[in-house]
Amino acid sequence: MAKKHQSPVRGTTSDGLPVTIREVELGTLTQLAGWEDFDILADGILRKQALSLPSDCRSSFRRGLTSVWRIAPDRVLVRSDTAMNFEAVDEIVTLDLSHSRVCLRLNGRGAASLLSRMVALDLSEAGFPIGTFAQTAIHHVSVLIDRVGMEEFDLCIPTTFAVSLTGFIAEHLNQVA
Amino acid sequence: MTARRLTTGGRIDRSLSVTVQFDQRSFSAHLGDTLGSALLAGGQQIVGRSFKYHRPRGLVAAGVEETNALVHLREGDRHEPNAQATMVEVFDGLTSTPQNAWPSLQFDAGAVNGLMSRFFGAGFYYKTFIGPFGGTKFWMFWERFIRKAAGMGRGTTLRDPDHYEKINAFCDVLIVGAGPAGIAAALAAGRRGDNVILVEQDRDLGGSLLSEPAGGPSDVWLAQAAAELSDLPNVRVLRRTTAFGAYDCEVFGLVERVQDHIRAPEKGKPRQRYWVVRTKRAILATGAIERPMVFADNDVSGVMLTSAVRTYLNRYAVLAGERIVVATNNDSAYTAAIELANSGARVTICDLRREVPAQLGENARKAGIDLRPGHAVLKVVGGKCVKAAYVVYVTPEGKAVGRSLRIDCDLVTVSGGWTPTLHLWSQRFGKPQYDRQLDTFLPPAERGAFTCVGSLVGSPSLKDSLLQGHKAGGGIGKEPALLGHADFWGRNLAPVTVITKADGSTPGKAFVDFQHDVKLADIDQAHLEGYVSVEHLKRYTTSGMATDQGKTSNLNALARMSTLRGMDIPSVGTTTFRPPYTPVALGTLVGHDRDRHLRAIRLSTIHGWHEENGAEMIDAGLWLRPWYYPASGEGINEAYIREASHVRKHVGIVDISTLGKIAVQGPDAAEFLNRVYVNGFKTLPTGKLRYGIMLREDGFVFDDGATARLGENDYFMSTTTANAAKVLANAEHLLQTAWRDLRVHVTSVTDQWAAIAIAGPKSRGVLAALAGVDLSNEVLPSNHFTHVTIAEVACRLHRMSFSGELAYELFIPAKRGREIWEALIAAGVPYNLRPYGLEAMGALRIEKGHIAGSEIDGRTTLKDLGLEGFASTKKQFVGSVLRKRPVLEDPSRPSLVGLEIIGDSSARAGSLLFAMNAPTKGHGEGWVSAVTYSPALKKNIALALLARGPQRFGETIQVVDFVGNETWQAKVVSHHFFDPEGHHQNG
Repeated sequence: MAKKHQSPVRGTTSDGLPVTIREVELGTLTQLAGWEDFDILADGILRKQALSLPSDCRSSFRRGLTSVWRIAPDRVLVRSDTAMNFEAVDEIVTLDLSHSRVCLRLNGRGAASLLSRMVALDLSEAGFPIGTFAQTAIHHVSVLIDRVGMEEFDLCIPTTFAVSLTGFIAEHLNQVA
Repeated sequence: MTARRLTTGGRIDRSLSVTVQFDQRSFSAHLGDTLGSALLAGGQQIVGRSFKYHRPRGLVAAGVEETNALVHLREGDRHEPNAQATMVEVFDGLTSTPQNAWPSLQFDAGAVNGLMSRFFGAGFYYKTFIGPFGGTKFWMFWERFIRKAAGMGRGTTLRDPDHYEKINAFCDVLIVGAGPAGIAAALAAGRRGDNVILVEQDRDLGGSLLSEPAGGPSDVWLAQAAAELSDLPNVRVLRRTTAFGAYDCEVFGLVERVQDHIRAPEKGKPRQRYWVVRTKRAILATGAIERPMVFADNDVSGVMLTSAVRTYLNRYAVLAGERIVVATNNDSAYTAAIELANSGARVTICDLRREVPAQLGENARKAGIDLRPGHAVLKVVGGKCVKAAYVVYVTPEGKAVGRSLRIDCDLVTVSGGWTPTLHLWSQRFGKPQYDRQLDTFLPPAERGAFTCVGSLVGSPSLKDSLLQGHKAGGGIGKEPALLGHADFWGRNLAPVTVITKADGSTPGKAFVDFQHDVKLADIDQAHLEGYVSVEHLKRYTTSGMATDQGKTSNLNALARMSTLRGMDIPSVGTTTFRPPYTPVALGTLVGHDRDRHLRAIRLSTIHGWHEENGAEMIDAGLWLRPWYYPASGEGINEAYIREASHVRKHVGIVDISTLGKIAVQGPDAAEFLNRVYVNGFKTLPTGKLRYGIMLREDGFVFDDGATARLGENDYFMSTTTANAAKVLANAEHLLQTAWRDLRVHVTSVTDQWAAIAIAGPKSRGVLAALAGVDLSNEVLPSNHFTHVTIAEVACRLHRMSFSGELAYELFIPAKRGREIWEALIAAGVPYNLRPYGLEAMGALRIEKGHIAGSEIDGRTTLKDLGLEGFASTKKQFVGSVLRKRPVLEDPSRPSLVGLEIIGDSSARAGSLLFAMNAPTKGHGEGWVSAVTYSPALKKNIALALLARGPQRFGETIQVVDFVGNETWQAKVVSHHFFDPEGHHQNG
């Protein structure tokens, strides 16, 4: 049976490095998808919001509290603190996914070390600098990872797996009260 | 064997003494000892009993190649079998016990097997127990006794109290083995700025240098190197870590024994850690393992590898014997022999080479050693320990010439050459090449991203090993300079390890594989029986198949086979190695994926309410779903019948958030839906929804669900819970391969939307009151949806029924799901609204005759399920061609029917169907797919697939559950048990 953890969860990795796991507001998550000329059309829509299309699937565009992540050649996700009204354009479809994921923030000197226990990504400063985004899996569940600080990662995890995955991640820590 | 601890020397910390237990005896040891060295120093001659013959065995090696000293470690829930005593670091309070011995290690009843050994040769079990009296019954009877008698350790069934963890790591260079070559490589790579991981299975860095006399020049170099490595921030040194697997794309599996060297792991520390390392390149510096020699009774306690005896002498300050015979075919044994002699032992060297290098011979004689060129050990004398050795002059092929001479001794050391530890290389690349001069298999120095250095590639000297490592690491910094001994084993090696009498036989059991008790005679027998493939030989004799994976036995078995076949070793071939290099605890591989985290669990956002209100939960794939909500004292049957009855009479709500939900968007979405569903979707207007059925390409039913048109190019598809991922994957597959012309995107929105079904005659009232909208038939007829706001949350309300009652499905932004559920509960009080679970939902749908996963089981067609009328004849769709295959059109195929069970008990799903007077054998005429007690009909009913079903309404048939050994009778009826006209759901 999954156990619901009280947020935040504080603890240390087995190396003694401190980490805090906290659920934070995801805000609004919108998917833009298209077909041919997606780059041009999507970039045009994004630019009207002072945003830009990331060139690849590992980097993010960030402005204030808004981030743009490319999740496929013809899809981007836009995370923002407020709802965004994207211009309606033929050949681009938008989809609200704000309720489909929750955001866990991992913070502390052990954040990268904790994550490396669950994901097969090089999370070193050189391999995963601030602003890097990745789509991967934790415990076989799709997870989006955004490095927002040297010692801070945002994990967007599917809403229905949130309790189970939070518990799984917390299980890797020696928890402190 | 009269081993003793020397008063000086070694790399043990004599200031720290500990006590360890073995076989109920206490042994004093020092930090730095292994359990093996402690037992040797304490005079423990027998450390285990052999696998098959229960022969008393002593230590053979000092490291990972040990074959005999497998022990039980610790007690209770930390009990661990098959630990190699030579790899277990001592700590105060360490407890260990022998395994595979009863009633005691000294007197083992199983040793009687040895008396019958001539009958227990290769293939004994196959020949004797499998097949002689029909089938496998005879084997099944004897298997338990054979397994009990055969000897590996005994595991515990107690819960493991420790925890383990996995970790991923990335590096530029992974160096396996921190001997001189590995350290030199790490230094050079580290100086270059590479991100380096250096892996060493030992507690200490140094590898073979740790077997040099303490205080020598190698210690100075080692200390300087270790200091420099620890100062390099880009070099991570993993001690007590074994690289057990090498996989494609330069991925390695390591196991780090984080806390095995103490009594119990410290709080918060894992016992072991499983590393998955991805590296750009790998440097293997895994060294070599000395090769035993094969002669009569070569397994008596006190026959050891020469290198091991040297390690015990120089690292652990244990002199393993006083009167020692060193049997060798190469130069490397001389250094050990001289050091043993200098330590006070009386040493005889039997070197089967007739010409011994002059300098070695002179050094040996100076040390007072009795050197006998051209001689070998033919047989060892002794029961539980070595008492003497018969040595004999031999031909270059290892056959005795003339009479043998008895030499009283307490220790025989053997050195039959060396076998490079190429397991990791072989795991990755397969078979290595044979080197005639070295009489062994070698990996190439370079292949792909792998570089092999040191003894692994037969490096002729310490200096060469260091330079190879330095160069492999990038050649940065000062070249390492350290001189070794001029005793390279490959220089004048005589490639003979099997010593026999002149007729080719041995005057006693001569073992090739100590751990699995494989004798020379077993290889001979396999040869006589026609085994020519080395892979078959391995499996028939089990040579090389024990926990040591043939580290010491493989080459000797191959050598014997090549002799018997009159071929050279490369012509005979070799086997390949597979992971793991050494046994790995399952707990390490499991890590945190255990108990409640065995797999990720999926919970609807309303789950908390279900738990708080006493729902019994049930697994549904990854989901946990409310099964039923028991009232006081109720069991499942009372609860679901009450819940289902309540829905028919009043109103109930059920959490259906688990339904698969897919957004289908794009200008060609209608065309896409038209192709994936059997029925037409192009004409579906906005604001309506339609039930649809999908087929697989082979024509069988794949899934069903309702799809709503939200906008011009925007659809909301629902699928069954079980098939949500498959439907999405199939849609993506089609769009990215066959239908690239369609401008459609499909996106899972299962997590975006919570969903609640509200069913029952009062459902309209509850919803209308809560949402403040008119939901009359005129405003919201069946198969329509509308947008409503409940508790300030914008939701979508579908008019859809699975239960057969007036019913709605409410889709809510997921994070607000519980709020809306609670709002419904509150608003439903005047209507007597109750929650119901999965079991009641199933009962309601069976009553209605709706299909679900148990009918869409991959074997049924549209026609089988009575749904053929849905299939459009005006269009092509997935499965439209192959569903017309004659075999699927056969009118005698089982078709969906209802069954009314005669009597008071319920049949069981999976039961088979037979005509009343037909014999109940074989697969029958169909099967039961779902059963329930019907509160509406007040009888037990079932859905079933029955041959020519619809033609048999009114017939009484037999329902047979072969598993539960029960038979019922049932009347065949239409599967539309309840309200076939649909008055309720259309009400």
